[in-house]
Amino acid sequence: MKLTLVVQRCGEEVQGGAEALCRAWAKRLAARHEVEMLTTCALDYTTWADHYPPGPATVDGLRVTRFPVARVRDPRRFALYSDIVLRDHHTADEERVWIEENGPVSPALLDAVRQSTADLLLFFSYRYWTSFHGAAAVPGRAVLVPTAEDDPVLAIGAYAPAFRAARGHLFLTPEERDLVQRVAGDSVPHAVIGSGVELVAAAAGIDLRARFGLETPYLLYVGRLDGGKGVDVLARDYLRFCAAHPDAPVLVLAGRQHLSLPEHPKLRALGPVSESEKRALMEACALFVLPSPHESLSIAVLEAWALGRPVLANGRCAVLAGQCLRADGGLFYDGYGEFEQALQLLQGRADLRDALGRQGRTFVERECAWSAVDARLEEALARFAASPARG
Amino acid sequence: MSIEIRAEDVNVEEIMRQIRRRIDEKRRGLYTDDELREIAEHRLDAVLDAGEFNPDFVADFRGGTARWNYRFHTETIYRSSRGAVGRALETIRKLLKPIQKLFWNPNPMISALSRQSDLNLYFVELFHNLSRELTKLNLENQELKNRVLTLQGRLDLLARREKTLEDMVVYRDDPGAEGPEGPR
Repeated sequence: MKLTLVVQRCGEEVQGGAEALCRAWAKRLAARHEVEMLTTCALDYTTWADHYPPGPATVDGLRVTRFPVARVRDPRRFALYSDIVLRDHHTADEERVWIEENGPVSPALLDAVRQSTADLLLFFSYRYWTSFHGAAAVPGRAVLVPTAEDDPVLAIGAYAPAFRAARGHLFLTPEERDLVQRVAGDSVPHAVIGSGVELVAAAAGIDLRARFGLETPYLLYVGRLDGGKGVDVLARDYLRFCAAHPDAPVLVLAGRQHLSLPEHPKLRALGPVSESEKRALMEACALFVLPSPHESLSIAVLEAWALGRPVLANGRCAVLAGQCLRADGGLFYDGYGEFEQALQLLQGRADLRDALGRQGRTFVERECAWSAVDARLEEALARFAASPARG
Repeated sequence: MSIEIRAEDVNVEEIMRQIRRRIDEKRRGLYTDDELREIAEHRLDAVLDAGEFNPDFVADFRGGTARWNYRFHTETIYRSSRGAVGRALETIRKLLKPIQKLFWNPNPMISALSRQSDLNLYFVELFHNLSRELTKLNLENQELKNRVLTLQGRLDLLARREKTLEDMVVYRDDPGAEGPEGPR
């Protein structure tokens, strides 16, 4: 089969769940199909300014073609329309403006999508201009990989017809499928694929005490440090927990920092860490904490389980709560009261933490091995290709 | 209620049910009487241990009134604790009571000390109840503070939006300024 994967940005430096998923799937699919990737020249999702040169390139051994972005994002207009469209009564026109402002606007990419001769085109992240207009340009061949989260964007009315026009939907979790089908119905062929996780041991030889001055036990968060990921709320809840429980373990935050954190001796922000450092940190942590209120699938949670570590996740995100319940690999919380109770319980029970970590690892071995993901993906794409074209 | 979990074959759904039940119990009456008492006693500990008070006072306080308060009756000042000799002494004191009353009147003192003993009991009860009420009010205060923070956040959001809208109106009214791109 000839497949084209369309994603908002792609490059070695790009950090982002959907982009990483696109690359991972592309690598797996390239072993059996003719695969190309179409993307923009952008690196920074806050501006969409061109960073990479336009034209063909190779990323991870994959054929990628990049197209320039027509205009950078105006943060003031984007904030205003976000405020109107996501928090207030609004019109259909305002929704369309919001999609333009959200970007990345790339008419050249859209032309390439129209000219593509692929059997199926997979569009990653429904919310971006590239997927919204791209999927509309080739409705009979468009497969949406929504990576949808339970946030107000999903309620934007303009997206529902776009979802319904696709030839198929590929979801990461059953919760994500339910979210999308709540707004778009279940008439489109679909499948829950998930994502694979490499079951590799942590990098040996990294002395966390020497490199970061860390003593065990500690709690760990790895990812972008910003409000959208719930890190500000985590810091607030954790300091409140520390005030009530002076024996609380240190909280280690690893990742690029986009917000200011309160000064506290038990709150340690390490900045960005390498992949091997991340694995070493994960393997040694007492508990992996994920405060994000919006996720379509957390790879970090799967990685923590792959290393046998338990998880404490934000239960307001139905996906994270669902992951914890399906794997029996972690607890989740809704508000400070549950955060305190769950953390207090896990802090005092090393045997419980180990048991949750073990169960998480069993789940990852069973559900997230790449061979299982490949089989689900192949079955779904064959079914979509054989189904009558829509739109 | 404590959360009881066995570490083999852990069921997350069950743990979460227990955690939520525990929180529901707390929310229903904020805290149980036992927990309030525990919290109140912890605060008392902190105050007493930090100052120059007798560190045994808290233990005495909890041990019952007989260990720290006194009982005072009209006959208390004539009693003795010296066994048989003491009983003889008490008899002599009673006999000499009319003569003693020629020199001073002990009744106001007896009355004052007796009332003070009752007041001590009353103050203990009062302080105990006050510390419980204070704990409740602290919790309520915390909840209200959180609500104020939420409302403040919403207010800031609306203020920002108002400011942006005002800026954009000025932007558009200025014929010399290059306006923002319109909707596509």
